[in-house]
Amino acid sequence: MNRRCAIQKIILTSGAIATLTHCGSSDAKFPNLLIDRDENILINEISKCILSVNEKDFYTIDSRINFILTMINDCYRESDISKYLLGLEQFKLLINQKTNLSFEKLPAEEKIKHIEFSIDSDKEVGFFINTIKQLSLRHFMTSENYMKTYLKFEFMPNRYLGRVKL
Amino acid sequence: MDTNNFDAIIIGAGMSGGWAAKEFCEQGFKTLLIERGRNVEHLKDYPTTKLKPWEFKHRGKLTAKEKEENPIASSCYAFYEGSKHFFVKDSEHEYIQTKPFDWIRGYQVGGKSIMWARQVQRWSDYDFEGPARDGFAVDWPIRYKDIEKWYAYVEKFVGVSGNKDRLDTLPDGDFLKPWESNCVEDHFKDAVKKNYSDRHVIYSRCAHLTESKPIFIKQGRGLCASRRICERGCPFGGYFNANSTLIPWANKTGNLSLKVNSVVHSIIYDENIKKAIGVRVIDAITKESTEYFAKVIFLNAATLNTNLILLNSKSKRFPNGLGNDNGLLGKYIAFHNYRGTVSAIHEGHQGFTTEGAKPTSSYIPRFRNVYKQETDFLRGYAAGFGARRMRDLNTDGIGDDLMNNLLATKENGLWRVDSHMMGETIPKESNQVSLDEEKVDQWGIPQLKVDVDYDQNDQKMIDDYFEQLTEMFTKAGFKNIKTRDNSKRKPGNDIHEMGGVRMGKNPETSLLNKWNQLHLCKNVFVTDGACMTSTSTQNPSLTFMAITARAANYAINQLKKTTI
Repeated sequence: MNRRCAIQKIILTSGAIATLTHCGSSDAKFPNLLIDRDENILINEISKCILSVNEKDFYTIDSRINFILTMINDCYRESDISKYLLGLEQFKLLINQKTNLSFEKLPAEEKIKHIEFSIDSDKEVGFFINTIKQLSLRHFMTSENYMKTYLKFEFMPNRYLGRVKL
Repeated sequence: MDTNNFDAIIIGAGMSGGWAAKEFCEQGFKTLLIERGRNVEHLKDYPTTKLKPWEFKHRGKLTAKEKEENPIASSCYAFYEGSKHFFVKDSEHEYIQTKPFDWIRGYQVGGKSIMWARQVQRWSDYDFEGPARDGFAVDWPIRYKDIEKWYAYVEKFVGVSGNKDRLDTLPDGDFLKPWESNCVEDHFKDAVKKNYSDRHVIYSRCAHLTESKPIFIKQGRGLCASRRICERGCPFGGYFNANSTLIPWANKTGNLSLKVNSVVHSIIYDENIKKAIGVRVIDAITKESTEYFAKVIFLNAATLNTNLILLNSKSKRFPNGLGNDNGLLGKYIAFHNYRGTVSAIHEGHQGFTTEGAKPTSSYIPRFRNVYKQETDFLRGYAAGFGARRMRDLNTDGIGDDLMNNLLATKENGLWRVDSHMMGETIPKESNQVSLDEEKVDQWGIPQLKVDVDYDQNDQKMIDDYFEQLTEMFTKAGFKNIKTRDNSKRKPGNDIHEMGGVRMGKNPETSLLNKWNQLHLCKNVFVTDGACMTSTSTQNPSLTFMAITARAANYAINQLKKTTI
């Protein structure tokens, strides 16, 4: 049984009654995560709600969702990945309990409400939402336009002025 | 000439080995430069040098696997996604930590000169006379006058940006122009000047080109573009590393033979002629053994590996390692104590900011126990100092609120000031390296046991640094002053380990004479960090280079006279 199935089993045996994703087809690009297509869409949707960016103005080489999943898959410790996946299940459960609609189909205000509710949680779901927020921020703030325009990044400054009047 | 016979063999193609190679090759001697790692050619082998932050898959971060597998290498501030390929991974060369020690290494042509911090302050006689005056280690066999012209010689080739500060504790050189200091650095400098007669805040001299000169054009180097990603290698040669300067310079003479992926097992000693005659080398990939021969051997494998090679160079005459009759080889290892940091905020200069970047900051030369013993600890510390305007970045909220906050970011936060200490540690016999009797590395060479630790003197120095910098910061009007003792920072993490094959006047208490020759085997020279009798507080690379150039020219003269 892989880690993902084990986490689902924890959720199901802890008394929760919900329809959860099967341990089915997952994205082979992220072998430590085993996120399936629906979850990929859900995480992307949450990220867009947290930080909606005009992609034309803030172009990035990699897509936001690809960056988030890459970072978690590659740079997070196993224990944090487990925590993240548990948080994902908790979030899905929350949505299932509150509404008959999938998260993507909810009105924008309701999406924001669920994210705001979860982000302050000290349970895994709080870690899950905060991780998406932090990685969304990192992806946006390392976009070329944001770095150059707002953070005044210069790759080759060729100068240092130590007393510039604001 | 037989393909395995040379005039000189130099072990290690880093900063000091590069200098030895340049000197021998320039003066017409057939020179073999042996490097245990791969070749790194200037321009060709800097794979990340042109990558922008947004082009890195992990935006500079290491993967969890890399961190888990490399607790030693990843403890180094310069080890990240953009530079990790220049560091030795933990599993590649194991050693035994009798006490915790981070051995940070760069096995390649250029060695650690690719990733170094580029700070180059000279020593003065307050440093060379320290052990004799304060009664530790042994007296240095040289003084500032012996090395002064070699500092100048090296600086002219390297290119050092700095001010003439006229301090007896930190002699001046013929510097290239400095970058500007910023208004808060100037404010702190003025406050220190006003309140202390013996303390100074100066521009930290660094090995970056700020002016073009014929020598740099000849090397093919351009000016520093202030990119501050030097550890990835510089396509302009704006900072000094061995790859852009010493190695190609030596190669152009036609006298250089470079052998890479060649791990030196030991130095071969001939009992009959009572000299070293060559080295045993193991091919790092095929593990095949080869011997090379020369009249003179320079050891520049970096401090701990130089110790290892000498300890492993056993013969009937030297059963405990080459030149080690007194049993002191591997002992009196010292380093720099970087544990203490102090930070604060500055509420003034709100109408000013900075623009661009510079690859250095300010420097406070040692002021403790310089002219007389005034504290209950020996020696002292230098300190780095920097100031930067913080960005008022608000990442609160989600959705439109968050985006609006991010787009409203302005450089209107307070100024933050930071300092870090660079403390001299006292060489002690108990701080030592030795060879393990059972464990060997992948090349069949005994693993090194490292038994090095801080002591009470270091702790007292940290406490004093906190007290003095807090007082200096307070006098400058800085607020919210915070001190931090990073007690988890292990010895070795400073990457300034020195000693084990110390210089001295007396063969009974030292290994090397004033020309860096082994007292007991005069055609073997040690001129990397292993030769250091004490550490002082200055970043040591400039002194390694000057000592190497001096010793190499001495050896060359002896070769010419056929007295070696």
